[in-house]
Amino acid sequence: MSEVAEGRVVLSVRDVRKSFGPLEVLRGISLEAREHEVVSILGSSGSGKSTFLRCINLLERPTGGEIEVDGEVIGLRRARGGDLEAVDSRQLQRVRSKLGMVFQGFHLWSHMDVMLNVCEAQMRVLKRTKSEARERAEEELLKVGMSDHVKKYPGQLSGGQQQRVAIARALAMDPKVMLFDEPTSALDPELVNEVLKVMLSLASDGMTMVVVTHEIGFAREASDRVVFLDGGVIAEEGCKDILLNPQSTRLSSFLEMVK
Amino acid sequence: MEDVVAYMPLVLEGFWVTIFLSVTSLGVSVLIGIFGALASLSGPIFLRRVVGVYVMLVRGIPDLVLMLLLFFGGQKLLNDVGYWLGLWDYVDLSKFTVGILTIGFIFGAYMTETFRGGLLAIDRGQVESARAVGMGRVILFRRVIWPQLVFYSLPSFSNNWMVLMKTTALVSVIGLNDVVYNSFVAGRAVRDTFTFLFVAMVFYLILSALSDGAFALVNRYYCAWSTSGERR
Repeated sequence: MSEVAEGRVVLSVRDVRKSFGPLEVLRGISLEAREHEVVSILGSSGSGKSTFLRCINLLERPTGGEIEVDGEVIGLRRARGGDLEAVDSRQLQRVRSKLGMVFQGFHLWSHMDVMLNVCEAQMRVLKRTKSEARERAEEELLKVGMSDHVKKYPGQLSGGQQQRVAIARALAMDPKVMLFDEPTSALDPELVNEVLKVMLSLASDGMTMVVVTHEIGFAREASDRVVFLDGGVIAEEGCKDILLNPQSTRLSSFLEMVK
Repeated sequence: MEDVVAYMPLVLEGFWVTIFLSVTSLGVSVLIGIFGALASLSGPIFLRRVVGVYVMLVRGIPDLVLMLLLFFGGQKLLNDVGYWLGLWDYVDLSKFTVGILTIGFIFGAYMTETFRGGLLAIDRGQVESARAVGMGRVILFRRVIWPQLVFYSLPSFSNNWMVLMKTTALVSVIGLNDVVYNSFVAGRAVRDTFTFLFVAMVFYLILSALSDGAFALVNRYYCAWSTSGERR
């Protein structure tokens, strides 16, 4: 974990900008993630960190910038509203399937049981057979400790359990990079740790992760690199030591506040 | 009693007309409803306005008045338009077609609201997570949106169907031979309207009982996830 990865670059985001009307939320952000690297993105609310993460898989249309995943640059063109959209929806779908995304609000499909939640995209997007998908799902559900709940529906699970299933769902797609969008922010305090534990074990297994989080503890323990966003730009960036020894006043005052 | 037996074929004929009319106008209303719901949620501003006015008008005018207006006026309107545009000559719409279109038109407005509510009830986050794993539009609709749309729309949909079925009785005023019309004819012929209207009533009750059963089946298929514990 702590030894800085020297693997190849699997995610490269260059100069991403995003405006909502006259409000410029992201003012040119670049980020690289190498294989097996864990990058934590910190920032106060409104700093644009979630928006940035959502721009990476184009859930949010960036106003400018370039995104490269696993050596493949997403073809973008300017849409009518002024933002960028994917030229080729098939390419976008392929790229998205390589980016596992975990949301703050879990967003499991509530009409599917746990097993189907994890199998669905494997079968429909990766065209795996049912038995292949099940096998893979069982593997991932075991990893997140949810093997005993395969027949339950999301509504019958606690937040922490739902989030672990959501992580399994993303992992089953064999993603190149996992994107976490404040994965523990919607959880009751006593459920946060079960999710963080899963994320820590993923990190030590060598999964490439980009994590937007408020959990300084997690960032300190698991990150190879920390990026601090403020006012739509990267205010400070470096190895996790910057959390102990911030260089900019903005980061140090942020750390003071969340302490 | 012999009278009832003797006139049964006529009443039965009307019964089939009622069923056929109900099912076909349901089809029309569902098409209008899905289109209207999609248009009012994600269509261009002009279309949204049109749908808004349509829903407001239909919901604000009694079904019977609309039926008469469309039946007597629709034919003329259609032909006037054809004449002005020079696109078609005189078109003769059968009573049947007008009946189906009118009821479909009326209930299309209610279905629009039903499906709009259903679509709005679907959690945006679940649509987003489906896009995030790389699902395309078709699979997204079929696997994520549709099952939940059915679930959220079903109560209001079944309600609409029950009312629609009974509304078909209005076509008897424009002379369509549905179960009410035929029962009335039979009743007058033997000077016993009461008995025959009673027969018509029983038919409607059977039809709604059957519908209830059908909806229970659909409900079991689409709503398993919500009955097995607290939802979401």
